[in-house]
Amino acid sequence: MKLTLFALALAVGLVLTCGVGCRHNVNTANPQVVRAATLLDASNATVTVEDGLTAADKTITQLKAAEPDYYAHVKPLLKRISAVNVIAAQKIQAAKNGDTSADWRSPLLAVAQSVQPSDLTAFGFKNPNSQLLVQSGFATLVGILTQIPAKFGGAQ
Amino acid sequence: MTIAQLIAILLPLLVQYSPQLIADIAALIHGNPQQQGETDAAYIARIGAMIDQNTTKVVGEDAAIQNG
Repeated sequence: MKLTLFALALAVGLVLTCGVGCRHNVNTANPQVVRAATLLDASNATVTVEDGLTAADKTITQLKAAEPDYYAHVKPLLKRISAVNVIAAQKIQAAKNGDTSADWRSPLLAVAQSVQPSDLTAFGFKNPNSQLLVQSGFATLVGILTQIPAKFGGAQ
Repeated sequence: MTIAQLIAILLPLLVQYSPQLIADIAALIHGNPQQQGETDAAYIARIGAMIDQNTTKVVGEDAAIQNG
């Protein structure tokens, strides 16, 4: 019974802790395979950034009438993050296509450095409820921007 | 069959096959690891196709944000 509970706890723990951008398991030490898995992790991170941007964009669109100053403040930031994120995605794509000189890591880190996450959600909102909506709507984006340096800032 | 009976059946299987089963569950939810018996070339090709899809998605959603 203890073994059963241990296995169940281990399974649940693994499933819950292996989040977005989780390193993929490979069966080989073949560097090309490891590289492909790393590139997919990086590519998945750009997708998560874009998903977060989409959610954030929907949030500010909903708030546009009630918080026009916030919308005007944050919309350019979202566009900036998205533009840098596309560059990162395209560099990852180039690396996947065989361009060994393609530096995908720097553009990906640049995504995380393109804004201060606090600039996205800290604002003098007119409506107190707006802060809560923004924190919820920006959670994915802020989370992945924080995770990228930890996941991809190290040596390749 | 009750949920308790189902768990009673599944748990021993989980213990018996736990390493692979756990990996498969995690793979189903979070990613696409190299499968048992999948050649390196096939895995790289599969990963490459996923990266292609990701890039297309990112570029498309960026356009929506830039133009929205």
